[in-house]
Amino acid sequence: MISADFYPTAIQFDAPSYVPTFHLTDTIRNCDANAFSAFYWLGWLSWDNLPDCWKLSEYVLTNTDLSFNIATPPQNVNIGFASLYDASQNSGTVKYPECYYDSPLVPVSQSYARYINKLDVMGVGNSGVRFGWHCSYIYGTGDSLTNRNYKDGEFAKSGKALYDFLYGDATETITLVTGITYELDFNNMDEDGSFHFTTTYNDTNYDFVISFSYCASLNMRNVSPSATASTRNVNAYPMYSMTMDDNIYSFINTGSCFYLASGYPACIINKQTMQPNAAQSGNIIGDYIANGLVCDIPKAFANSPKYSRLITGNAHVFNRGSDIAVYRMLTRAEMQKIVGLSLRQSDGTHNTYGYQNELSYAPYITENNEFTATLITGDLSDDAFKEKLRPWQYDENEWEENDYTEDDLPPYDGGGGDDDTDSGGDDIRPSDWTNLRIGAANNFVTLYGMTAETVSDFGRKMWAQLADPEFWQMVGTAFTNDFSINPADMMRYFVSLRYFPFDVSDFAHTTASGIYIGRAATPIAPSVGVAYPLRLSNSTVQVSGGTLTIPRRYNDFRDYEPCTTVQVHIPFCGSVEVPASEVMGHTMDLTYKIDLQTGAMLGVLCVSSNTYYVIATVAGTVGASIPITANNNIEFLQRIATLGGGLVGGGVSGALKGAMLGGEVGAVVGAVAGTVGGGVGALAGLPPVTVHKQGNASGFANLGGVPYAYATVQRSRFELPDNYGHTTGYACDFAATIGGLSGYTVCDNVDTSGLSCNSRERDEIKRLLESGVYV
Amino acid sequence: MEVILCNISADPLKLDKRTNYAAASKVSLACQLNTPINIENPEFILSVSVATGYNYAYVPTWGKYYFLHESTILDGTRCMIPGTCDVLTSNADEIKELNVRVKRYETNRNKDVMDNGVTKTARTHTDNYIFSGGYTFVIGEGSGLQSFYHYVLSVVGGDGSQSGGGDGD
Repeated sequence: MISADFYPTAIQFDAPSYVPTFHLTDTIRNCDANAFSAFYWLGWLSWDNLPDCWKLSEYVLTNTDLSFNIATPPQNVNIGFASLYDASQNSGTVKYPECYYDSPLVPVSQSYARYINKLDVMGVGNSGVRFGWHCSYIYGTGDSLTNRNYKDGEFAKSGKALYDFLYGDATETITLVTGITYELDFNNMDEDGSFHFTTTYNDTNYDFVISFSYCASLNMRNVSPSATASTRNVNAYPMYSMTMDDNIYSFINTGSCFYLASGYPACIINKQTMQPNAAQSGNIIGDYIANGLVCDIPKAFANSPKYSRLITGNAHVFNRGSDIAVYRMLTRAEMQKIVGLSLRQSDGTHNTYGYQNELSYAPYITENNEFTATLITGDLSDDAFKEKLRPWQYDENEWEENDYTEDDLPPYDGGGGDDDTDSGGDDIRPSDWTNLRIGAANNFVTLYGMTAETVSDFGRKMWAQLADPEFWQMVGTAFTNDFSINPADMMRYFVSLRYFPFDVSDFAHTTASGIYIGRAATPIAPSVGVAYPLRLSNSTVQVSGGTLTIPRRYNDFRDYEPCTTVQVHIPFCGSVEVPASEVMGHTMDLTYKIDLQTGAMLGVLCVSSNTYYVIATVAGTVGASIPITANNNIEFLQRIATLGGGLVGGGVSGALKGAMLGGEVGAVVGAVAGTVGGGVGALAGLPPVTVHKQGNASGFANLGGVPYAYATVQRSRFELPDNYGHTTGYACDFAATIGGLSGYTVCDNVDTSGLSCNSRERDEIKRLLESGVYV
Repeated sequence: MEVILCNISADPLKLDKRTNYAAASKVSLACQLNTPINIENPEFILSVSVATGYNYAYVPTWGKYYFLHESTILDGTRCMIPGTCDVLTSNADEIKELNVRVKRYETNRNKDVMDNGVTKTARTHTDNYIFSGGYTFVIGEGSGLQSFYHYVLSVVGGDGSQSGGGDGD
């Protein structure tokens, strides 16, 4: 395992230098030769002034420069540069380097598989430009060398893909993810190497930057020359014919090759120094030479005037053992930044693209051409290190470091007052209807709390008794003597049956009782073993929804609208937006007020700050209505009654008995023997049944929401440049003598009467002070 | 008239550039003024063929400081440099005595003042906070439907024991 202290002294840079030399110290020289399978050296060059200064340089690993100890060379070390470039001007619509996932350039079957290219190839393609959003990582999955069939959806993905692949559960065999992004403002790069897009890609202004932030590695295949480059493709088979039969010659592909009719800069050389303007030798670029192609990067660049701001990294060559050689192109113009060195460690089961262990090093050159470095080092088994490597990704639950936070700001000179001083006056409290008895439980309407078993039993009993002559006798006594009511109307005495998502006995006063219907003196009692209904003495209940104090995030104006919004979600009632200024930092108190008869609910939201007051009320339905009657069955019973000469009078018993002799009635009795819940279905064998609903069963859908109250606080995010105070100034409002101030100051409505200058000068001074001056 | 030329690097919006002026290398030259003379925007005619590298001037006679602009070569021996009065520095002492209402300041802020200069991004951060101590409604299987009183039956009528009364008998 690579230790974390391997790197701090591993690499040094000569600085300042346009052509930096980097040294590997003793640490790396003496490291375990087998510790690394590869390490990549990423760089980029700006070629603003390339026609004048571009030059190929080389680095050969020696003891004094890039000092792998030749005597005991670290095995399996690959060093390389990456490249990114644009080749569109000479290849029609091709605008990006083409890289091929399935390129045959490197056989997959190579057992030693120290090749980087095959799975490291990435890039952007003409048909698959997907930079993602704020994406640091892009990888290509072109699946056909011939078709360049980039998969749009996969060609470029966000850095999250990399992260998932490297450290997550992703099983996708990903191509090497690299940090390529683009940016118009090259200088607008964070020190950690991350970029922030300031513009969208512009076809006419190619600005590429190799983004390396947390970048594990990068390896671009070269856009390779082809004498027959189509208008669509820049063919990419410069190494097509290179042999891979010598595992010493493991290599990283790529290079910065441009398609130019006059020459082809080639960067993949093995064991040889690449010479500009000269044919290269070696098997890797054998094809080039065979075709008279010349590596002529200076010329290529000189003929590429349109690349005014294109930035490119460059090729890498590498090898291992005593054949180590590194070549790279450098520019003497603006070696703006050099970024991203990563080391990989083979775990013995993974080859170089196994990504099992990796260290990254991200040095860069400052504006003064001084090298500096942000060392990212560690082991992938270390979560903290992994975190460092993690690419930027949007995580709404994570506050970013660049968020405009309290710590970023200077001490305040006012505001942010005591929360408890925001309000005052009298308390405003909702009514207490805990024991409300309006319209129910009052002998006009009686409410019974029931268990599911009780409901089932009651329904069963009702249906069964409807076919029982003795029951009708009882009913007749109860109803007809006083009201002359047709017993078929009896079901109308049931106002509603509702389901509530709470035990009503927890909140209402109750007395166990049978169910009385109308004026019936005899209650319908439950069957033996079934819980008695509970006669409710109050028709409303009041339930606490809890309290909530929403913390402030910014402790300034951003905690309120329009920067922050607060929505309170009340079960069964929906959501209500409450003023952030009213609730932020205060305690909300929610009460549910529920009408057991109608199922209605009122959510009453109060705020407790200096005073207590109602801030919102939201109505909803909590009681789900359950159908309990069937008209057709009533009609059917009416027919039964008619058969017996009506239920009026004492002849009902005989009539019903006679009626029950018929099979139809027998079927009914059998059918209704089930529970109420299965009532409709149980009656399926009967003539068409029309269910008459006493309530609306849609209330059940309402129960599918979140069963508790919560608040959603949506806070805007802000960007605050480091120089905000110096260039814009923080908002404030105070009086002061200018001479006592210091720094950027914007005044308001300046009174210049104290000045002795003329009026025009006064006006100018007033204008300047009101637009901002540095005191 | 004497004009003292120099080159300073201070921001034009700096209130008092006299420190910068004092620290700068200065050249004192005699000059004429192009007529008509506008003291706020004078045109200094210098008896030198070219005067470059100067961006600031002080005219002792007027006690005023000037921003210098591009010089114009008049002939082989003279050049003209237009200037604009630096009203801030020229009146710095009096300006410093002004009592003003500060709306923006580099090192102080008022937390409760809306700052429209801060860039609000398109992204937001959403937090959900659950009310604590409140009742959580119980729905569905496992909620004790068989043994708890979740149903309410509403029936017309009252206690049967009272049914005998008020019936009109």
